[in-house]
Amino acid sequence: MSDAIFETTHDMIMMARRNLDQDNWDYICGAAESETSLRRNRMALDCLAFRPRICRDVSEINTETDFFGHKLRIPVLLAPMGGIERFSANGGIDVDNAAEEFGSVNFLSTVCQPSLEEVADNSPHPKSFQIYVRGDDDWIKDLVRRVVKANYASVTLTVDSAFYGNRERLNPAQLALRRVAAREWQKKITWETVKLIQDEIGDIPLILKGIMTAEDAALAVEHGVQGIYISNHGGRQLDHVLGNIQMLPEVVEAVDGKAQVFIDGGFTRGTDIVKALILGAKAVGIGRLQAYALGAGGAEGLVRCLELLEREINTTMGLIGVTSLDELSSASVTEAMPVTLPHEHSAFPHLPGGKVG
Amino acid sequence: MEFKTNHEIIRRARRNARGPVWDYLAGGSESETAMRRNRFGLDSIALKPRVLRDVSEIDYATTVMGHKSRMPVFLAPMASLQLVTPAAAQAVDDAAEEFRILNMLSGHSRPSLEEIAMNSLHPKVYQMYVRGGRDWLEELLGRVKQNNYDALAVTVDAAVYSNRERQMLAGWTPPTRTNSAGREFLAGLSWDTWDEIRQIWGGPMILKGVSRPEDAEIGVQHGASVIYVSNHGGRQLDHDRATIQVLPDIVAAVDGRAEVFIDGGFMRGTDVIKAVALGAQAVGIGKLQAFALCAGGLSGLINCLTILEDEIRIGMGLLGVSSLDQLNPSYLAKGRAVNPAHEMSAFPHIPGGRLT
Repeated sequence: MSDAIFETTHDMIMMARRNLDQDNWDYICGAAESETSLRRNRMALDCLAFRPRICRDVSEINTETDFFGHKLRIPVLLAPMGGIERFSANGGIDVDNAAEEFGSVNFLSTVCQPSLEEVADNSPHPKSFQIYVRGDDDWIKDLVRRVVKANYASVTLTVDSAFYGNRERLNPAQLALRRVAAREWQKKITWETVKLIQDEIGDIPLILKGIMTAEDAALAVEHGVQGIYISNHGGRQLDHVLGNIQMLPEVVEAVDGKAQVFIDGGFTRGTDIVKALILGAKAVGIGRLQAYALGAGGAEGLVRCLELLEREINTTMGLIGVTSLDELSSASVTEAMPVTLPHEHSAFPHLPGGKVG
Repeated sequence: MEFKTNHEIIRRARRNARGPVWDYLAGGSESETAMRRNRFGLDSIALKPRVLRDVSEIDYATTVMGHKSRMPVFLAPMASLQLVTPAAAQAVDDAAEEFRILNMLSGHSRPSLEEIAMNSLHPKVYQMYVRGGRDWLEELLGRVKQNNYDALAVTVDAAVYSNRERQMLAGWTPPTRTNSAGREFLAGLSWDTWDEIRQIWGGPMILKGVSRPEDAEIGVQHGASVIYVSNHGGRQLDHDRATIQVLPDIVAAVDGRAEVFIDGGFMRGTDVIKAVALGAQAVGIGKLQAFALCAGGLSGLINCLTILEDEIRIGMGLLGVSSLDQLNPSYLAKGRAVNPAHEMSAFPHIPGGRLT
């Protein structure tokens, strides 16, 4: 355990709030338009209850899994985050250091600092590079060749960002900064773009991030995609979609074991992670939680946050009555009514005022 | 553009509205359940986006009653607009002309239908409340015809003026309520009246205020060009269902024999997309229109429409469709509402959640 700079995720969020200015706070907490997608992510998690089994020896619990053959200490991935340098001075390097120290896999966003080569040189552990398309086919090829040369363990193409969602908490100047002209390229991507990237990366696994239907998951498998990443971008892109975890059963069924299924969106607790694994996800990405952790204490804060998640996952597995992730099955969950109105902090009921604005 | 989001428009409208006018704009009838159900109905539908479709060109233009429309949105008729903005319905007509969408002039708004028509070249609809017999109808419809209105909307959900308790609590009565002349004709409306109007008018007619497929069917049989699904923004019969909830059955009943319009709680581009996916030809905005007019008159309304257009464009692009005819129910799923529904619940960043 690192020196405990905070004891609970509640503390971490409060600490992050103190360290971040209003613009950065609004950027990380907010989502698109009415923020219904964001809230649905939480509500869908809150609508699942556990069915714990008893009297099973749970003295030894193993939370390990793998990411395309690379060991993961817990089934948690550090989701790609644009502008991560806003929350932690060393940006992608801090995330990379935390992933290395804890034993996680981090995704480096196209739109974060420093460069993909600098992050690659920083550490030997596996990581994924996340692509936003900002140019023509030659631009894509150049970028992908750099990623391959830098030995990234996988490549992730984000497919839910043809337009930039209206994030209404942001002030207009902040929003204008993000609406760069090169974003237009993101509108033109198709399955041809997927093939183009596959031709460049060869055997390196490709993940499509932002899939929200069984139909597209099936198409991705047909195209030989190895990773299906269910995401609504933390509710920051299309408003009024379903909660991500609601999509898991149909996507897992469509994929039928032919690819790994990842997910993110509102996951902030060990119980959340366990629910996703029960429904067939291989691992879960954390985005907002990651940013809070970085804001609270940089790389050290992020390692601590992962330790707290690990503790929660351990506790949850033990109390459900399983000792390894492969024992999890859908018999362990059932539908339930949510007990709180969902929002970005509703998993943390002891925050003063309920929500930190 | 002065306002970047409709949050700001609503806040400005609240500052500009004088006392009971806000109650008139924002309120519904009795328990306001019908009004809230409109939002709740929209919030109970989720979107299912498809990916990797080229969405670099998005076309959301459509036709409304055969007229080109820049987007599948029209300006619903609103009474007593003179309370909201000095130019009243003239601002609405100007906004429709500038933005190239259809507007419906309320028979209970100022200025007169002749004054509106005088400077207006674009297609528009006259909305009538029936407040007289044969002679009254012939006189009014003669004026509407003479002034080249393209269609006539007959409101059929206002037989009795409902109890709007916000304004009752404020001890205030809107001008339309004070003027009781001919109100008994609204209560006496029947399909015979509709047929009589149709015979006098002779042009396209819109049946406004339908919430059951049975009435949609009768309307089509009686020659309605448009079935307009509406519960008057939750301002008439309380505890009516959400308009979006009844839309699929009505679209099925109409079966392409008329266009289907809808209004009731539509505030966002995603709301409009949902209605089109369920078969509506166009969506009317009422409260949102009034908030925009109250915030900034003509320019406020143009600003609001521009925001709505941007939201429709983003919503379609992120949904993976590039034209309206690609939309169908496969893009929708049942979703859970995530917040208590009310007239401002589509705008979560309004201070305190709601302006009263």
